[in-house]
Amino acid sequence: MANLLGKRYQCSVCEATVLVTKAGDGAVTCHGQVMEIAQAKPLPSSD
Amino acid sequence: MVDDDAELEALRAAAARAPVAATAAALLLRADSGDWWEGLLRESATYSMLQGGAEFRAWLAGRDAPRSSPDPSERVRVVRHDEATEIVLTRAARHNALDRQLRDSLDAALGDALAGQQPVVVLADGPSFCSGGDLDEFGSFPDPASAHLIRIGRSLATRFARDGHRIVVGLHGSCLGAGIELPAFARHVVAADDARIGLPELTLGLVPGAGGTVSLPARIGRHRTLRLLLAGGTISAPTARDWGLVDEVVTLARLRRRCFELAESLL
Repeated sequence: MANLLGKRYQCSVCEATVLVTKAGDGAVTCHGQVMEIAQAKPLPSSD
Repeated sequence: MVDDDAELEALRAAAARAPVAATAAALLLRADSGDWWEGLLRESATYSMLQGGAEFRAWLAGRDAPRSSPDPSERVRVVRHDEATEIVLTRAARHNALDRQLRDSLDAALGDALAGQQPVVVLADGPSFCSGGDLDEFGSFPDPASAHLIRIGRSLATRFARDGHRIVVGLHGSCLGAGIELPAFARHVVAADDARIGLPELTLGLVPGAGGTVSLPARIGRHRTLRLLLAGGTISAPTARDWGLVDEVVTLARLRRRCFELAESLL
């Protein structure tokens, strides 16, 4: 369910990004597809 | 700045155990230019230099292999209230030791929260606010030069330093290393009366790496910062308040409520 507060969702077609500022039911869609959670690339430890 | 000859002797002995790191720390603190970005760059470069040094290597060699198994559970919880965004560290079983996943989760949560207009309240689940960097990951950096760029590129210290005027932090339990370095950037720091605060980095042959050589001197001056670093132990919440490292001390039961009251005053 694409509605988690504070998460970014991205369209795999046009790369449009939305930020969820209020949680709710349902999914966000773009270009007819459910948008996927966008996450920053994991980086190695700096320690 | 020290209480007596016994403390002076203890600090001298600590400096003798890690003379390179202790000297590097003293030079860093003396170089303070009042510019937080310059300070973070200088600190990170010094930290990475020490990652290639003999004192850190000796500490690493004396350590057992990491004992913990990978734990993919969520590291932070974000709740948006009318008066503030609440970010809670949720790696409770590990005293919120700052591993890669917590770093990345907190960085993303702060980025989103600070993109809005609301104040941000940072609190933690479990017995401690944050016990510092996850020791199980120490020594896992790719190489010191890359580690410098990673530290500067995905920097919780930058988040806190840039937008600290909108952040309220509630401390409790162990607040070590990054667990005090990051909060010290915040506009308001409230400590529960059980908080124990310290900078353990020198015992690892390192200097603070989460902005502590910028944030602590701004609150308590460079002499007390160096004293805390050399001593290696912890100070109590009342002492931290007397020094100005935290702004007030409350009971643990009142900590969260007090943080939200202060956040409302920032609106």
